[in-house]
Amino acid sequence: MTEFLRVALFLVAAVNPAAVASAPPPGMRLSRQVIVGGFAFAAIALGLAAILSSRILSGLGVEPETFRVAAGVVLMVGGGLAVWNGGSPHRGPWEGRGAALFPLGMPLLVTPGALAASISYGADHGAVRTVLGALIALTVAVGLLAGAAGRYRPVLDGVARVTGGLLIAIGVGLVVDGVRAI
Amino acid sequence: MRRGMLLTLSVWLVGAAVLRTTLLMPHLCPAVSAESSLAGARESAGWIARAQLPDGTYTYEYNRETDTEPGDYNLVRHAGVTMALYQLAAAGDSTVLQTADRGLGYMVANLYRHNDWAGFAGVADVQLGATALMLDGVLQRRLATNDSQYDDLARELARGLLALQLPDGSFLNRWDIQNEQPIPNERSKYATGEAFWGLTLMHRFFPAEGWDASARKTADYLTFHRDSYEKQKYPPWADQWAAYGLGEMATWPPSDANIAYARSLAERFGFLIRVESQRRDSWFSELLHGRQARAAGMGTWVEGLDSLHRLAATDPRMADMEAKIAERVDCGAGMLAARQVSPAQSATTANPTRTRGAWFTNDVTRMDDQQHALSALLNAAYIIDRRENP
Repeated sequence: MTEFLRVALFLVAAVNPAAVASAPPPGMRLSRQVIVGGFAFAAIALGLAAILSSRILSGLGVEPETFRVAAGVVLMVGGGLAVWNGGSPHRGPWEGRGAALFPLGMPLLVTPGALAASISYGADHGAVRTVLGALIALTVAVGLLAGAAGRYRPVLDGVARVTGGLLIAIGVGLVVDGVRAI
Repeated sequence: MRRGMLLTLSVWLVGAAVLRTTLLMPHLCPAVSAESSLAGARESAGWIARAQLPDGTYTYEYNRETDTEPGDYNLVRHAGVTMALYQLAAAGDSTVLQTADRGLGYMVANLYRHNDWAGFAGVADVQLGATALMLDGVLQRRLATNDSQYDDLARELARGLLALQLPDGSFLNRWDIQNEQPIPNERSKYATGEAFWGLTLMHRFFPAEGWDASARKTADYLTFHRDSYEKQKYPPWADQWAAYGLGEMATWPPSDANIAYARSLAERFGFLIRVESQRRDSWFSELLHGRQARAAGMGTWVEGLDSLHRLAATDPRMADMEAKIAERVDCGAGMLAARQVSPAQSATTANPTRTRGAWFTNDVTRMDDQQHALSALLNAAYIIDRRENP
Protein backbone atom coordinates (compact mmCIF):
# COMPACT_ATOMS: atom_id res chain seq x y z
CA MET A 1 0.00 0.00 0.00
CA THR A 2 1.35 3.41 -0.89
CA GLU A 3 2.03 5.95 1.80
CA PHE A 4 -0.78 8.15 0.51
CA LEU A 5 -3.36 5.36 0.61
CA ARG A 6 -2.26 4.49 4.11
CA VAL A 7 -2.65 8.07 5.31
CA ALA A 8 -6.07 8.25 3.61
CA LEU A 9 -7.19 4.97 5.20
CA PHE A 10 -6.05 6.10 8.63
CA LEU A 11 -7.93 9.38 8.26
CA VAL A 12 -11.05 7.52 7.12
CA ALA A 13 -10.81 5.48 10.33
CA ALA A 14 -10.28 8.65 12.37
CA VAL A 15 -13.38 10.29 10.87
CA ASN A 16 -15.36 7.02 11.07
CA PRO A 17 -17.90 7.51 8.23
CA ALA A 18 -20.27 4.83 9.54
CA ALA A 19 -20.53 6.60 12.89
CA VAL A 20 -21.18 9.89 11.07
CA ALA A 21 -23.89 8.32 8.88
CA SER A 22 -25.72 6.86 11.84
CA ALA A 23 -25.55 10.04 13.94
CA PRO A 24 -28.77 11.79 12.78
CA PRO A 25 -31.97 10.61 14.50
CA PRO A 26 -33.80 7.72 12.77
CA GLY A 27 -35.83 8.87 9.80
CA MET A 28 -34.20 12.28 9.56
CA ARG A 29 -32.64 13.37 6.27
CA LEU A 30 -30.24 16.30 6.45
CA SER A 31 -30.50 19.12 3.94
CA ARG A 32 -27.85 19.47 1.26
CA GLN A 33 -26.86 22.83 2.79
CA VAL A 34 -26.08 21.25 6.14
CA ILE A 35 -24.10 18.41 4.60
CA VAL A 36 -22.09 20.70 2.31
CA GLY A 37 -21.57 23.17 5.15
CA GLY A 38 -20.34 20.45 7.50
CA PHE A 39 -18.00 19.12 4.81
CA ALA A 40 -16.60 22.59 4.12
CA PHE A 41 -16.07 23.33 7.81
CA ALA A 42 -14.32 20.00 8.39
CA ALA A 43 -12.21 20.29 5.24
CA ILE A 44 -11.02 23.73 6.32
CA ALA A 45 -10.31 22.60 9.91
CA LEU A 46 -8.43 19.41 8.98
CA GLY A 47 -6.74 21.11 6.03
CA LEU A 48 -5.45 23.92 8.24
CA ALA A 49 -4.27 21.40 10.83
CA ALA A 50 -2.26 19.60 8.14
CA ILE A 51 -0.92 22.73 6.45
CA LEU A 52 0.06 24.40 9.72
CA SER A 53 1.27 21.17 11.35
CA SER A 54 4.95 22.11 11.47
CA ARG A 55 4.15 25.55 12.85
CA ILE A 56 1.78 24.08 15.42
CA LEU A 57 4.42 21.61 16.62
CA SER A 58 7.08 24.29 16.60
CA GLY A 59 4.79 26.55 18.63
CA LEU A 60 4.20 23.75 21.09
CA GLY A 61 7.95 23.06 21.22
CA VAL A 62 7.30 19.40 20.45
CA GLU A 63 9.08 17.11 17.99
CA PRO A 64 6.92 15.31 15.38
CA GLU A 65 8.08 11.96 16.78
CA THR A 66 6.82 12.92 20.23
CA PHE A 67 3.53 14.22 18.85
CA ARG A 68 3.06 10.85 17.13
CA VAL A 69 2.82 9.21 20.55
CA ALA A 70 0.20 11.71 21.76
CA ALA A 71 -1.76 11.42 18.50
CA GLY A 72 -1.69 7.64 18.88
CA VAL A 73 -3.16 7.92 22.36
CA VAL A 74 -5.92 10.23 21.07
CA LEU A 75 -6.72 7.75 18.27
CA MET A 76 -6.82 4.88 20.76
CA VAL A 77 -9.26 6.76 22.99
CA GLY A 78 -11.36 7.74 19.95
CA GLY A 79 -11.33 4.15 18.73
CA GLY A 80 -12.33 2.89 22.15
CA LEU A 81 -15.28 5.28 22.27
CA ALA A 82 -16.33 4.21 18.77
CA VAL A 83 -16.23 0.55 19.76
CA TRP A 84 -18.28 1.38 22.85
CA ASN A 85 -20.84 3.69 21.23
CA GLY A 86 -21.00 2.19 17.74
CA GLY A 87 -23.54 3.99 15.59
CA SER A 88 -25.44 5.71 18.39
CA PRO A 89 -27.43 8.75 17.21
CA HIS A 90 -26.11 12.13 18.28
CA ARG A 91 -28.58 14.22 20.29
CA GLY A 92 -28.06 17.25 18.13
CA PRO A 93 -29.53 19.81 17.71
CA TRP A 94 -30.03 18.77 14.06
CA GLU A 95 -32.50 21.49 13.09
CA GLY A 96 -31.37 24.55 11.13
CA ARG A 97 -28.21 25.42 9.26
CA GLY A 98 -26.20 25.53 12.47
CA ALA A 99 -26.17 21.71 12.43
CA ALA A 100 -23.47 21.99 9.76
CA LEU A 101 -21.13 23.36 12.42
CA PHE A 102 -22.44 21.42 15.39
CA PRO A 103 -22.82 18.48 15.61
CA LEU A 104 -21.95 17.54 12.01
CA GLY A 105 -18.84 19.69 11.58
CA MET A 106 -17.58 18.96 15.03
CA PRO A 107 -17.45 16.59 16.80
CA LEU A 108 -18.68 14.16 14.08
CA LEU A 109 -16.46 15.01 11.10
CA VAL A 110 -13.71 16.90 12.92
CA THR A 111 -13.00 14.42 15.68
CA PRO A 112 -10.11 14.87 18.11
CA GLY A 113 -8.55 11.84 16.44
CA ALA A 114 -8.90 13.32 12.95
CA LEU A 115 -7.39 16.61 14.14
CA ALA A 116 -4.46 14.93 15.89
CA ALA A 117 -3.90 12.62 12.92
CA SER A 118 -3.96 15.55 10.48
CA ILE A 119 -1.30 17.39 12.49
CA SER A 120 0.83 14.28 12.92
CA TYR A 121 0.57 13.07 9.30
CA GLY A 122 0.93 16.63 8.03
CA ALA A 123 4.25 16.94 9.86
CA ASP A 124 5.45 13.45 8.90
CA HIS A 125 4.12 12.95 5.37
CA GLY A 126 3.54 16.48 4.11
CA ALA A 127 0.46 18.69 3.94
CA VAL A 128 -0.60 17.80 0.38
CA ARG A 129 -0.96 14.07 1.01
CA THR A 130 -2.68 14.68 4.31
CA VAL A 131 -5.14 17.23 2.93
CA LEU A 132 -6.01 14.89 0.05
CA GLY A 133 -6.38 12.02 2.50
CA ALA A 134 -8.65 14.12 4.69
CA LEU A 135 -10.76 15.12 1.67
CA ILE A 136 -11.21 11.45 0.78
CA ALA A 137 -12.19 10.61 4.36
CA LEU A 138 -14.67 13.47 4.52
CA THR A 139 -16.12 12.63 1.09
CA VAL A 140 -16.70 9.04 2.14
CA ALA A 141 -18.30 10.24 5.36
CA VAL A 142 -20.70 12.77 3.83
CA GLY A 143 -21.45 10.41 0.90
CA LEU A 144 -22.49 7.73 3.34
CA LEU A 145 -24.41 10.29 5.39
CA ALA A 146 -26.35 11.48 2.34
CA GLY A 147 -26.99 8.01 0.97
CA ALA A 148 -27.70 6.01 4.11
CA ALA A 149 -28.97 8.47 6.70
CA GLY A 150 -31.61 6.81 8.83
CA ARG A 151 -31.23 3.46 7.03
CA TYR A 152 -29.15 0.32 7.47
CA ARG A 153 -28.67 1.18 11.16
CA PRO A 154 -27.52 -2.27 12.34
CA VAL A 155 -24.99 -2.45 9.51
CA LEU A 156 -23.69 1.08 10.18
CA ASP A 157 -23.50 0.33 13.88
CA GLY A 158 -21.39 -2.76 13.25
CA VAL A 159 -19.14 -0.99 10.76
CA ALA A 160 -18.65 1.96 13.15
CA ARG A 161 -17.50 -0.43 15.91
CA VAL A 162 -15.16 -2.32 13.58
CA THR A 163 -13.74 1.02 12.41
CA GLY A 164 -13.21 1.91 16.08
CA GLY A 165 -11.26 -1.30 16.52
CA LEU A 166 -9.18 -0.44 13.48
CA LEU A 167 -8.57 3.02 14.93
CA ILE A 168 -7.27 1.50 18.15
CA ALA A 169 -4.82 -0.60 16.15
CA ILE A 170 -3.71 2.47 14.18
CA GLY A 171 -3.28 4.38 17.43
CA VAL A 172 -1.15 1.62 18.94
CA GLY A 173 0.96 1.60 15.78
CA LEU A 174 1.42 5.35 15.97
CA VAL A 175 2.50 5.16 19.63
CA VAL A 176 4.99 2.40 18.89
CA ASP A 177 6.26 4.32 15.87
CA GLY A 178 6.73 7.46 17.96
CA VAL A 179 8.55 5.62 20.72
CA ARG A 180 10.79 3.78 18.27
CA ALA A 181 11.58 6.86 16.19
CA ILE A 182 14.78 8.72 16.80
CA MET B 1 -26.32 24.53 19.49
CA ARG B 2 -24.02 26.96 21.29
CA ARG B 3 -24.32 25.07 24.56
CA GLY B 4 -23.49 21.72 22.97
CA MET B 5 -20.59 23.20 21.08
CA LEU B 6 -19.16 24.89 24.17
CA LEU B 7 -19.49 21.67 26.12
CA THR B 8 -17.68 19.74 23.37
CA LEU B 9 -14.95 22.36 23.18
CA SER B 10 -14.56 22.32 26.96
CA VAL B 11 -14.08 18.55 26.98
CA TRP B 12 -11.55 18.85 24.15
CA LEU B 13 -9.66 21.58 25.99
CA VAL B 14 -9.42 19.50 29.15
CA GLY B 15 -8.10 16.59 27.06
CA ALA B 16 -5.60 18.87 25.34
CA ALA B 17 -4.42 20.24 28.70
CA VAL B 18 -3.92 16.71 30.04
CA LEU B 19 -1.89 15.81 26.95
CA ARG B 20 0.13 19.01 27.20
CA THR B 21 1.18 18.35 30.78
CA THR B 22 2.00 14.70 30.17
CA LEU B 23 3.00 13.50 26.71
CA LEU B 24 3.32 16.89 25.05
CA MET B 25 5.57 18.79 27.45
CA PRO B 26 7.81 21.02 25.33
CA HIS B 27 11.31 19.80 24.58
CA LEU B 28 13.83 22.05 26.29
CA CYS B 29 17.10 21.96 24.37
CA PRO B 30 19.40 24.79 25.52
CA ALA B 31 21.49 26.34 22.77
CA VAL B 32 25.05 25.07 22.56
CA SER B 33 27.93 25.94 20.25
CA ALA B 34 30.90 23.78 19.30
CA GLU B 35 33.04 26.12 21.37
CA SER B 36 30.89 25.91 24.49
CA SER B 37 30.57 22.14 24.10
CA LEU B 38 34.35 21.82 23.99
CA ALA B 39 34.68 24.23 26.91
CA GLY B 40 32.33 22.01 28.91
CA ALA B 41 34.48 18.98 28.11
CA ARG B 42 37.59 20.86 29.24
CA GLU B 43 35.93 21.97 32.48
CA SER B 44 35.03 18.36 33.11
CA ALA B 45 38.63 17.29 32.51
CA GLY B 46 39.67 20.02 34.93
CA TRP B 47 37.49 18.44 37.62
CA ILE B 48 39.10 15.05 36.98
CA ALA B 49 42.61 16.52 37.13
CA ARG B 50 41.88 18.28 40.42
CA ALA B 51 40.32 15.09 41.77
CA GLN B 52 43.38 12.94 41.02
CA LEU B 53 45.27 11.52 43.98
CA PRO B 54 49.06 10.98 44.09
CA ASP B 55 48.77 7.26 43.21
CA GLY B 56 46.93 8.05 39.97
CA THR B 57 43.42 7.20 41.20
CA TYR B 58 40.65 9.79 41.32
CA THR B 59 38.15 11.03 43.88
CA TYR B 60 35.34 8.57 43.30
CA GLU B 61 32.41 10.53 44.63
CA TYR B 62 31.77 13.93 46.18
CA ASN B 63 28.77 15.19 48.14
CA ARG B 64 28.45 18.97 47.98
CA GLU B 65 25.80 19.10 50.69
CA THR B 66 28.08 17.53 53.28
CA ASP B 67 31.36 18.44 51.53
CA THR B 68 32.51 14.84 51.92
CA GLU B 69 34.07 12.18 49.71
CA PRO B 70 32.99 8.61 50.44
CA GLY B 71 36.01 6.39 49.98
CA ASP B 72 34.55 3.90 47.51
CA TYR B 73 36.31 2.96 44.26
CA ASN B 74 35.66 1.17 40.98
CA LEU B 75 38.38 -0.03 38.63
CA VAL B 76 36.20 -0.08 35.53
CA ARG B 77 35.33 3.57 36.11
CA HIS B 78 38.99 4.38 36.75
CA ALA B 79 39.83 2.99 33.33
CA GLY B 80 36.88 4.81 31.78
CA VAL B 81 37.80 8.19 33.25
CA THR B 82 41.39 7.80 32.06
CA MET B 83 40.17 6.82 28.60
CA ALA B 84 38.00 9.95 28.42
CA LEU B 85 41.02 12.13 29.20
CA TYR B 86 42.92 10.46 26.35
CA GLN B 87 39.96 11.18 24.06
CA LEU B 88 40.35 14.86 24.88
CA ALA B 89 44.09 14.61 24.30
CA ALA B 90 43.40 12.93 20.94
CA ALA B 91 41.24 15.93 20.08
CA GLY B 92 44.28 18.14 20.51
CA ASP B 93 44.29 19.12 24.19
CA SER B 94 47.62 17.76 25.40
CA THR B 95 47.30 19.49 28.79
CA VAL B 96 45.41 16.47 30.11
CA LEU B 97 48.10 13.96 29.12
CA GLN B 98 49.96 14.18 32.41
CA THR B 99 46.82 13.39 34.42
CA ALA B 100 45.85 10.61 32.05
CA ASP B 101 49.34 9.11 32.12
CA ARG B 102 49.21 9.01 35.93
CA GLY B 103 45.88 7.22 35.64
CA LEU B 104 47.45 4.80 33.17
CA GLY B 105 50.42 4.36 35.52
CA TYR B 106 48.04 3.12 38.22
CA MET B 107 46.62 0.55 35.80
CA VAL B 108 50.05 -0.59 34.63
CA ALA B 109 51.06 -1.05 38.28
CA ASN B 110 48.02 -3.28 38.77
CA LEU B 111 48.41 -5.52 35.75
CA TYR B 112 47.86 -9.24 35.99
CA ARG B 113 49.72 -11.36 33.46
CA HIS B 114 48.90 -14.90 32.42
CA ASN B 115 50.48 -16.74 29.48
CA ASP B 116 50.68 -14.16 26.70
CA TRP B 117 47.97 -11.79 27.90
CA ALA B 118 47.43 -9.06 30.48
CA GLY B 119 44.50 -7.56 32.31
CA PHE B 120 43.79 -4.67 34.69
CA ALA B 121 43.28 -6.55 37.92
CA GLY B 122 41.64 -6.08 41.28
CA VAL B 123 42.49 -8.17 44.33
CA ALA B 124 40.76 -11.38 43.32
CA ASP B 125 39.88 -11.07 39.67
CA VAL B 126 40.48 -9.46 36.33
CA GLN B 127 37.38 -7.67 35.09
CA LEU B 128 36.65 -7.64 31.39
CA GLY B 129 35.35 -4.05 31.53
CA ALA B 130 38.40 -2.69 33.33
CA THR B 131 40.77 -4.37 30.88
CA ALA B 132 38.72 -3.32 27.87
CA LEU B 133 38.54 0.33 28.91
CA MET B 134 42.26 0.27 29.71
CA LEU B 135 42.85 -0.95 26.16
CA ASP B 136 40.49 1.71 24.80
CA GLY B 137 42.44 4.32 26.76
CA VAL B 138 45.84 3.07 25.61
CA LEU B 139 44.67 3.24 22.00
CA GLN B 140 43.22 6.73 22.47
CA ARG B 141 46.65 7.66 23.85
CA ARG B 142 48.21 6.23 20.69
CA LEU B 143 45.86 8.42 18.69
CA ALA B 144 46.77 11.46 20.79
CA THR B 145 50.54 11.05 20.84
CA ASN B 146 51.45 8.66 18.01
CA ASP B 147 53.73 7.16 20.66
CA SER B 148 54.15 3.41 20.13
CA GLN B 149 55.63 2.57 23.56
CA TYR B 150 52.39 0.91 24.68
CA ASP B 151 51.70 -1.03 21.45
CA ASP B 152 52.84 -4.33 22.94
CA LEU B 153 50.79 -3.66 26.07
CA ALA B 154 47.78 -3.00 23.83
CA ARG B 155 48.30 -6.38 22.18
CA GLU B 156 48.59 -8.07 25.57
CA LEU B 157 45.40 -6.42 26.77
CA ALA B 158 43.57 -7.33 23.58
CA ARG B 159 44.67 -10.94 23.98
CA GLY B 160 43.33 -10.66 27.53
CA LEU B 161 39.93 -9.85 26.04
CA LEU B 162 40.17 -12.84 23.71
CA ALA B 163 40.97 -15.07 26.71
CA LEU B 164 37.46 -14.27 27.92
CA GLN B 165 35.74 -14.36 24.51
CA LEU B 166 33.38 -17.25 23.79
CA PRO B 167 32.89 -18.82 20.34
CA ASP B 168 29.65 -16.88 19.76
CA GLY B 169 31.45 -13.55 20.22
CA SER B 170 30.20 -12.91 23.74
CA PHE B 171 32.57 -12.49 26.68
CA LEU B 172 32.80 -13.89 30.17
CA ASN B 173 33.00 -11.04 32.64
CA ARG B 174 35.79 -12.07 35.01
CA TRP B 175 38.96 -14.10 35.33
CA ASP B 176 39.53 -15.76 38.70
CA ILE B 177 43.16 -15.02 39.62
CA GLN B 178 43.47 -17.72 42.28
CA ASN B 179 42.09 -20.53 40.14
CA GLU B 180 43.59 -19.17 36.95
CA GLN B 181 40.44 -19.57 34.92
CA PRO B 182 37.44 -17.52 33.83
CA ILE B 183 34.40 -17.47 36.10
CA PRO B 184 31.83 -19.39 34.04
CA ASN B 185 28.34 -18.22 33.11
CA GLU B 186 28.87 -14.61 34.10
CA ARG B 187 28.58 -11.98 31.41
CA SER B 188 28.18 -8.21 31.58
CA LYS B 189 25.94 -6.12 29.39
CA TYR B 190 28.29 -3.17 29.87
CA ALA B 191 31.67 -4.83 29.40
CA THR B 192 30.82 -6.67 26.19
CA GLY B 193 30.50 -3.41 24.28
CA GLU B 194 33.63 -2.03 25.91
CA ALA B 195 35.59 -5.05 24.72
CA PHE B 196 33.99 -4.84 21.28
CA TRP B 197 35.14 -1.24 20.87
CA GLY B 198 38.65 -2.20 21.99
CA LEU B 199 38.88 -4.89 19.33
CA THR B 200 37.67 -2.53 16.60
CA LEU B 201 40.29 0.02 17.66
CA MET B 202 42.96 -2.71 17.54
CA HIS B 203 42.03 -3.28 13.91
CA ARG B 204 42.51 0.43 13.20
CA PHE B 205 46.07 0.44 14.54
CA PHE B 206 47.10 -3.10 13.63
CA PRO B 207 45.04 -3.97 10.54
CA ALA B 208 47.15 -6.94 9.50
CA GLU B 209 46.76 -8.81 12.77
CA GLY B 210 43.20 -10.08 12.34
CA TRP B 211 41.49 -8.34 15.26
CA ASP B 212 38.57 -7.54 12.99
CA ALA B 213 37.46 -11.19 12.92
CA SER B 214 36.99 -11.24 16.68
CA ALA B 215 35.31 -7.83 16.60
CA ARG B 216 32.85 -8.98 13.92
CA LYS B 217 31.91 -12.01 16.01
CA THR B 218 31.07 -9.71 18.91
CA ALA B 219 29.21 -7.30 16.62
CA ASP B 220 26.98 -10.21 15.60
CA TYR B 221 26.52 -11.32 19.21
CA LEU B 222 25.43 -7.78 20.11
CA THR B 223 23.18 -7.63 17.07
CA PHE B 224 21.44 -10.96 17.42
CA HIS B 225 21.78 -12.40 20.92
CA ARG B 226 22.87 -10.02 23.66
CA ASP B 227 19.47 -8.52 24.45
CA SER B 228 17.78 -11.89 24.76
CA TYR B 229 20.66 -13.35 26.78
CA GLU B 230 20.53 -10.39 29.17
CA LYS B 231 16.72 -10.65 29.25
CA GLN B 232 16.43 -7.05 28.16
CA LYS B 233 12.78 -6.11 28.67
CA TYR B 234 12.71 -3.32 26.10
CA PRO B 235 15.48 -4.03 23.61
CA PRO B 236 17.85 -2.77 22.46
CA TRP B 237 19.94 -2.11 25.54
CA ALA B 238 21.12 1.50 25.12
CA ASP B 239 24.77 0.52 24.74
CA GLN B 240 27.01 3.43 23.82
CA TRP B 241 30.07 1.16 23.80
CA ALA B 242 28.49 -0.91 21.05
CA ALA B 243 27.83 2.37 19.22
CA TYR B 244 31.51 3.32 19.59
CA GLY B 245 32.48 0.01 18.05
CA LEU B 246 29.98 0.27 15.22
CA GLY B 247 31.18 3.81 14.51
CA GLU B 248 34.72 2.48 14.34
CA MET B 249 33.54 -0.20 11.88
CA ALA B 250 31.98 2.42 9.59
CA THR B 251 34.45 1.85 6.76
CA TRP B 252 34.88 -1.92 7.14
CA PRO B 253 31.75 -1.85 6.61
CA PRO B 254 29.27 -3.49 9.06
CA SER B 255 26.82 -6.14 7.81
CA ASP B 256 23.19 -5.28 7.01
CA ALA B 257 22.13 -6.84 10.31
CA ASN B 258 24.70 -4.75 12.20
CA ILE B 259 23.31 -1.64 10.49
CA ALA B 260 19.77 -2.60 11.48
CA TYR B 261 21.02 -2.92 15.05
CA ALA B 262 22.80 0.45 14.80
CA ARG B 263 19.57 2.03 13.57
CA SER B 264 17.67 0.62 16.53
CA LEU B 265 20.35 1.97 18.87
CA ALA B 266 20.06 5.44 17.30
CA GLU B 267 16.29 5.30 17.75
CA ARG B 268 16.65 4.32 21.39
CA PHE B 269 19.21 7.03 22.20
CA GLY B 270 17.10 9.59 20.34
CA PHE B 271 13.99 8.61 22.28
CA LEU B 272 15.85 8.86 25.58
CA ILE B 273 17.09 12.35 24.69
CA ARG B 274 13.57 13.41 23.69
CA VAL B 275 12.11 12.18 26.96
CA GLU B 276 14.90 13.78 28.99
CA SER B 277 14.35 17.12 27.27
CA GLN B 278 10.74 17.04 28.51
CA ARG B 279 11.83 16.66 32.13
CA ARG B 280 12.20 19.65 34.43
CA ASP B 281 13.84 20.14 37.79
CA SER B 282 10.51 20.25 39.66
CA TRP B 283 8.42 17.87 41.77
CA PHE B 284 5.57 18.03 39.25
CA SER B 285 7.80 17.01 36.37
CA GLU B 286 9.43 14.34 38.53
CA LEU B 287 6.00 12.95 39.37
CA LEU B 288 4.88 12.77 35.73
CA HIS B 289 8.11 12.22 33.83
CA GLY B 290 10.54 10.81 36.37
CA ARG B 291 13.77 12.26 37.76
CA GLN B 292 16.22 14.05 35.51
CA ALA B 293 18.96 11.67 34.38
CA ARG B 294 22.40 11.92 35.92
CA ALA B 295 25.23 13.04 33.65
CA ALA B 296 26.68 9.54 33.60
CA GLY B 297 23.41 8.39 32.03
CA MET B 298 22.68 11.24 29.65
CA GLY B 299 26.33 11.42 28.68
CA THR B 300 26.21 7.82 27.43
CA TRP B 301 23.20 8.60 25.23
CA VAL B 302 25.00 11.51 23.60
CA GLU B 303 28.18 9.44 23.27
CA GLY B 304 26.15 6.74 21.54
CA LEU B 305 24.60 9.24 19.14
CA ASP B 306 28.00 10.85 18.49
CA SER B 307 29.37 7.51 17.33
CA LEU B 308 26.28 6.59 15.33
CA HIS B 309 26.45 9.99 13.62
CA ARG B 310 29.86 9.00 12.35
CA LEU B 311 28.36 5.79 10.99
CA ALA B 312 25.40 7.66 9.45
CA ALA B 313 27.75 10.16 7.83
CA THR B 314 29.76 7.33 6.29
CA ASP B 315 27.31 4.54 5.50
CA PRO B 316 24.51 5.19 2.98
CA ARG B 317 22.30 2.67 4.75
CA MET B 318 22.07 5.09 7.66
CA ALA B 319 22.32 8.36 5.76
CA ASP B 320 18.63 9.13 6.26
CA MET B 321 19.24 9.32 10.01
CA GLU B 322 22.19 11.71 9.95
CA ALA B 323 20.28 14.99 10.33
CA LYS B 324 18.02 13.68 13.10
CA ILE B 325 20.97 12.19 14.99
CA ALA B 326 22.72 15.56 14.77
CA GLU B 327 19.58 17.26 16.13
CA ARG B 328 19.45 14.92 19.11
CA VAL B 329 23.19 15.34 19.74
CA ASP B 330 22.64 19.09 19.75
CA CYS B 331 19.83 18.76 22.26
CA GLY B 332 21.71 16.34 24.53
CA ALA B 333 24.90 18.41 24.49
CA GLY B 334 22.85 21.53 25.21
CA MET B 335 21.26 19.92 28.25
CA LEU B 336 24.61 18.65 29.51
CA ALA B 337 26.29 22.02 29.09
CA ALA B 338 23.43 23.82 30.82
CA ARG B 339 23.48 21.47 33.82
CA GLN B 340 27.24 21.64 34.42
CA VAL B 341 28.42 23.68 37.42
CA SER B 342 30.05 26.77 35.96
CA PRO B 343 33.12 28.47 37.46
CA ALA B 344 30.90 31.30 38.71
CA GLN B 345 28.42 28.91 40.33
CA SER B 346 31.19 26.90 41.94
CA ALA B 347 32.73 30.03 43.47
CA THR B 348 29.75 30.28 45.80
CA THR B 349 30.06 26.69 47.07
CA ALA B 350 31.95 25.31 50.07
CA ASN B 351 34.46 23.49 47.87
CA PRO B 352 34.84 25.05 44.42
CA THR B 353 37.59 22.55 43.54
CA ARG B 354 35.10 19.71 43.73
CA THR B 355 32.08 21.46 42.31
CA ARG B 356 33.49 23.34 39.32
CA GLY B 357 32.95 21.52 36.04
CA ALA B 358 30.91 18.75 37.66
CA TRP B 359 27.35 17.46 37.34
CA PHE B 360 25.35 16.73 40.47
CA THR B 361 22.37 14.51 41.13
CA ASN B 362 20.87 14.85 44.60
CA ASP B 363 24.00 16.82 45.54
CA VAL B 364 26.31 13.94 44.62
CA THR B 365 28.72 13.70 41.71
CA ARG B 366 30.66 10.58 40.77
CA MET B 367 33.75 10.47 38.60
CA ASP B 368 31.93 8.74 35.75
CA ASP B 369 29.49 11.66 35.57
CA GLN B 370 32.45 13.73 34.44
CA GLN B 371 33.80 10.90 32.25
CA HIS B 372 30.69 10.37 30.15
CA ALA B 373 29.78 14.03 29.94
CA LEU B 374 33.33 14.86 28.86
CA SER B 375 33.28 12.26 26.06
CA ALA B 376 29.77 13.29 25.04
CA LEU B 377 30.50 17.03 24.82
CA LEU B 378 33.85 16.48 23.15
CA ASN B 379 32.48 14.30 20.37
CA ALA B 380 29.35 16.43 20.05
CA ALA B 381 31.54 19.48 19.38
CA TYR B 382 32.58 17.98 16.00
CA ILE B 383 28.95 17.46 15.00
CA ILE B 384 27.85 20.90 16.19
CA ASP B 385 30.79 22.42 14.35
CA ARG B 386 29.55 20.79 11.13
CA ARG B 387 26.17 22.42 11.69
CA GLU B 388 27.76 25.80 12.35
CA ASN B 389 30.19 25.51 9.42
CA PRO B 390 28.51 23.31 6.81
